[in-house]
Amino acid sequence: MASLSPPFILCPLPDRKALLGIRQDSSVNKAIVTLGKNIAIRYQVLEQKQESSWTTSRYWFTSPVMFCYDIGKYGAVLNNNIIGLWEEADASLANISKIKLSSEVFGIRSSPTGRTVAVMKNGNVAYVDDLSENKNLVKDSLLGVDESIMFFEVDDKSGLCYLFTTSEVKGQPKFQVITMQIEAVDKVIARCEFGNDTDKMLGSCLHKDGSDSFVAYFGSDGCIRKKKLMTGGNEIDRIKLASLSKYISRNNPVTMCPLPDNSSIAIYGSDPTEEGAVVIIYDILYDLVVSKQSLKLYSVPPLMEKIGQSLMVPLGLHILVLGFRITKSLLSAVVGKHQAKLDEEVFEGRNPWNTSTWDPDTEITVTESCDKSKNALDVKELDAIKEAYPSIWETIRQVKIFENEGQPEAVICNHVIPAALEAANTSAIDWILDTFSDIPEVHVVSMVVFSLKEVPESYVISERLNKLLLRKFDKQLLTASLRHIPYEEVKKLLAYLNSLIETSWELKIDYEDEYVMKSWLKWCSALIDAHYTKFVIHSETDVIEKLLHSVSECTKVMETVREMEPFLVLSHSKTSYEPNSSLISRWRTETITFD
Amino acid sequence: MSQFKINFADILDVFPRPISCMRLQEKTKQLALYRGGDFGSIELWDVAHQPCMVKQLIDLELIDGKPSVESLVWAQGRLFSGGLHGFIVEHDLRSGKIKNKTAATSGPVWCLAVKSDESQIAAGTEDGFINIFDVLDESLIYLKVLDRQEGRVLCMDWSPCGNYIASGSVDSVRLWDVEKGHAIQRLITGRSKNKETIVWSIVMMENFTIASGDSRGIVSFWDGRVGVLKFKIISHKADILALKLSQDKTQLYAAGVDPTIIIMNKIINSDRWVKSHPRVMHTNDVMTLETVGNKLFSGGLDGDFIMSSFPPKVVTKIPPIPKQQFVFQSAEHVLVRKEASVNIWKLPTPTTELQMLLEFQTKGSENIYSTCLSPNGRIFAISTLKYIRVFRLNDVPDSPKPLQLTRLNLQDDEKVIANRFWHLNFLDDNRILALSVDGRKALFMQLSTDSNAVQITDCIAGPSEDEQSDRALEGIDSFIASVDGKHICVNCNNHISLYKVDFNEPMLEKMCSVPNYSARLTSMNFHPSHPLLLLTFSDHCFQVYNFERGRIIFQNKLEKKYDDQQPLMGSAWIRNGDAAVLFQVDGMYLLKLCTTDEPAKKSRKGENSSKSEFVRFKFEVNSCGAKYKYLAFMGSHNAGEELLAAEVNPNSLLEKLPPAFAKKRFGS
Repeated sequence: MASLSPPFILCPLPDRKALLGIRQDSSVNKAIVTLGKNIAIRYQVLEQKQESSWTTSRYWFTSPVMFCYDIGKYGAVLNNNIIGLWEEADASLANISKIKLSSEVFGIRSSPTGRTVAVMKNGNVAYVDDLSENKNLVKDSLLGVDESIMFFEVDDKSGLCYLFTTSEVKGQPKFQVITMQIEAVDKVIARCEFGNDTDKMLGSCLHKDGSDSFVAYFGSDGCIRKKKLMTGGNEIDRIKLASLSKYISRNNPVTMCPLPDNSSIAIYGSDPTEEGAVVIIYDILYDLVVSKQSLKLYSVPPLMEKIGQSLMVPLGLHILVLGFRITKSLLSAVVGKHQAKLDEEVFEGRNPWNTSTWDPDTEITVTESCDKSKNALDVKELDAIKEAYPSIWETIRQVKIFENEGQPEAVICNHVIPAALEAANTSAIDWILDTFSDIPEVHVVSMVVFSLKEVPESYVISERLNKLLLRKFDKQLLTASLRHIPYEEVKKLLAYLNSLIETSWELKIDYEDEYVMKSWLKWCSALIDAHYTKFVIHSETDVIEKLLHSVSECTKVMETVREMEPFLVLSHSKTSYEPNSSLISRWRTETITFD
Repeated sequence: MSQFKINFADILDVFPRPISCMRLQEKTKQLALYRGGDFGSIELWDVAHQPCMVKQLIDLELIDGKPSVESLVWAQGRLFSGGLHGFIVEHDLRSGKIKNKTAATSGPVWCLAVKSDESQIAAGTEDGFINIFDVLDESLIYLKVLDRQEGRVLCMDWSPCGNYIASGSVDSVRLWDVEKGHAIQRLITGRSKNKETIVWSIVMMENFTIASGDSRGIVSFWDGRVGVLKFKIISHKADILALKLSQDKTQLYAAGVDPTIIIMNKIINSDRWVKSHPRVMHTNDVMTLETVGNKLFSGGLDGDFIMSSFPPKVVTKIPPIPKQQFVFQSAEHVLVRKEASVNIWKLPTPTTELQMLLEFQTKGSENIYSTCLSPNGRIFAISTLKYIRVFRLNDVPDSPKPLQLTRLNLQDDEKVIANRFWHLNFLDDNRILALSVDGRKALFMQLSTDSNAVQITDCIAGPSEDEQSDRALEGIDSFIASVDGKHICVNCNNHISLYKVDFNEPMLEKMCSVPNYSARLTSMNFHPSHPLLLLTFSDHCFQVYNFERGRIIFQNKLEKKYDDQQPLMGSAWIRNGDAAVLFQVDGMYLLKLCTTDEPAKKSRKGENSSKSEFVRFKFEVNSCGAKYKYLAFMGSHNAGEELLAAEVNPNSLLEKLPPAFAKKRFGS
């Protein structure tokens, strides 16, 4: 799953309209911002630091500056028809190597694994190093008269270039993706048409699924679709993925950017209320919007670039950096979390088991079905339970009903846990903990808070709390859930965890399973992560100091254990090893003779 | 034939500190060199005979808590240094402190040069200025600044006539007219592979020839009059960091990152220079070169100070082990002094092993100037520029508990102790005598046996204060106390004097002075029972001086091969003073002493006796065939029956060095 980090400002932007683009530099965390027509600046993204810059006086940049990996130089299109190549040290760009062409160049593109490709405005494509030898390679026009290129993508492995073009046919815009073999004589392989199903295509990008190439596109009906690239406008290949009109406005163009995990796409567009902009990450595989970030200002044309592990978006008079993370997630983090609304991370409400959409009325459906299936339950069994465990009988009855409906554990928990907590039914909670393995993190947290209230002081051990703290969880979801609990509770929980860690080390318990300690520490880190700002602002360092003390105590023991490693390694390799040999060797006695 | 047991204790952990610059004072043949690292120090060496360290200056100007010396110059017998702190610092050689400092005004100082008549000093700075200062009696006075150049001034040399300065910077060499303040020539070095060329070193010769060594490994010879390159010699495979002209101006030495020292010879009656033989002596970068006669001194990253000459080929390598006394011994303990810390080791007994009891670090990593350990090994004292501290070791026998350290309260009279360097020595277990380095003050300190107080009983005028001669201007290099604590022997710039100490009075009464000897004193040692003093000198000579009678009763010079120029480093008495072991870095000699009442007979070869008519002692010198590397300390052990020695393993020094310049060798 991908997630977005909070944004930060990279650099000021004097004129939004003059920004030509942002490209990745030679190393991952460096970016080249081509500002205006005659200045390009290299930035260290994470350090927000300017590295160097180039200015031109005789030429104007007409494409963003980028690093050509195969040539080892920086390159850009100058004055529309010149491809300029220079080294990092050439600050003034006065004497640089140039390839002057008769027709206009749309842009160049390079990637670490492939060769640099130049795309002409007439639709022709060629490798830059070939162009320097033979300029006639791109002489012929391959596009129609009114056809113009919006953007292009290059696939290094197969040597293909995809041109995203637009033209107007009878007053209606027509979109095409032209697949081109860069080195072939007959370059155009396929022309794929779009736009018949939508009024207007608002944004698109290339999406790779295994060996097949698709185009994912966002239409003015608010739906995101994908289509396999092949000749013609075959509507059968088109797959509707989801409606994103809830997140993105259908009235303004968007920019789409595929992320490296090949299943997520970042989309930048205007807010549905059209009061600002929004960046979302949409997961095609799970059909979910996994992360969302609202921005204050939306600007046309929309521009977003992926540089290393960040997305760059111009925002007003600044360039904004949004880091993204692609991490592995537990399936339980995806499944059964549909109703959890957590800060910015909004999960679309879709039920994977029902074809009908999930809505608040489900509660009623459940109740109805509950009545229907009531008879189906084994009355005898329920009676027996009622007698044996009168306090948890109601919970068990509810659970049985849901089970008969075939609901997953997470969905059942959504209903029974809040009820049990409200009734302060501790035995029901204990029974739920023993019975269910897939309890959503948000409920685990609410049960922890509930159990914490029962604990008078941090050093009193609560069995239920311990049990809760040892449950498996997804750290991202836990952190998000922990954000909602009050700060006082956070401090109390942290103190409790601290006392657990301390006592376990003081008692010198031999842990056969290191999982226990790991789990506690994970909880500590999730707590601090969730309430980091509060810890900093309140400057209440005593809790953290205590924790630090306990952790450092633990690490001391670990270091001692670690010192044993060489002994064990030597014993394993059956080498004799005398532990005090180093001391003995510091002293030696000889007899000397003077004659 | 005599046999002794010698115990080697691996207690020294020496870190090689690089030598980054050197400068010779022609008149006195004193060589000042800077050893860098975390604790920098300027060392003064006497190179008139075998090289011997005279003094160490540890009070240096700091930048970001670390000392910085980029260049050293001598002017009018005074030593100046410049560094990245942006000051030109004058050092007081008598007291070892900074005498005064003058701001160079335009950023860090990269190089200094002195006019041939020593009346002016030029400083090349980061901002591209060359500032000229007049050397006055008390301080430097800013005179003028030459035109600004682009980029930092990395190296400089003043022409022998005094009217011009040649400077080196990135990609260019400039020749300046000092009077007008303008650059009269700008000589472009050229580049290889479009990489900028850095001129690291420059030498200006009498006929306006300028030699420059640069980062390409090329020595270029320029004609300063017309501003053209005469010719160049590709001598090295990496940066040339140092160039030095021999004193007879016929040889030019070049070395650098490629540690081979290439010698270039001038063709007689011609303007051309040719590459001559190389010398490979260093393992890592050679950073500085200096010449005295036909001797070449070189220093670099590996910390070795090497003297070499040809013909005949003689190479004397002085490893980077401390030259001043840094190991102090009691019956059970050994104290090892480092730059800013002290290690105390417990010597092994039949039941216990050698173990380190304590590692004591000074607060704020203050440089330690002097240390001493009490004869019973329970108390030690250290002195820095700011304070004297006395500590007691509370060693609980057979206890696994770590050693406890108690600081004894010293009645600290700030005005007396602070801001002076002090030499310290125990007279007995409870009495410390401190002499200020400038020789003006002597402190008597009495330790209380039942409390943690140290009382300064008195502070009197030091040995140099009363003297009327020139010696009053020289600081105290070292002093030692006799075993009974009644006598001290003071070395003031190779003038050795003996004083009687009266702690009750308190007073220092001068007894006698040892007749002056031309070579440098390397060590002095009181006999444990007789009124004898054993002195060793850098030219392999040693003397036994009877200070009651006031005469030298034995003097001998060790016979050595012409290429063994390692000086004697120290001595140790053994078997209750029946013999003494004299040692140098790689070997040792035995001096046997026996008392006799018979009058002296005519001496035979290898066996000498004193010529006095009251002969009481007989001496015999024996040598030892075994070779050691590197002997740093020797003392007596086990009630004087055995010897204790500490070695520095050359491999341990090599391990601590950065990777050397890689060179392809045949077959590798």
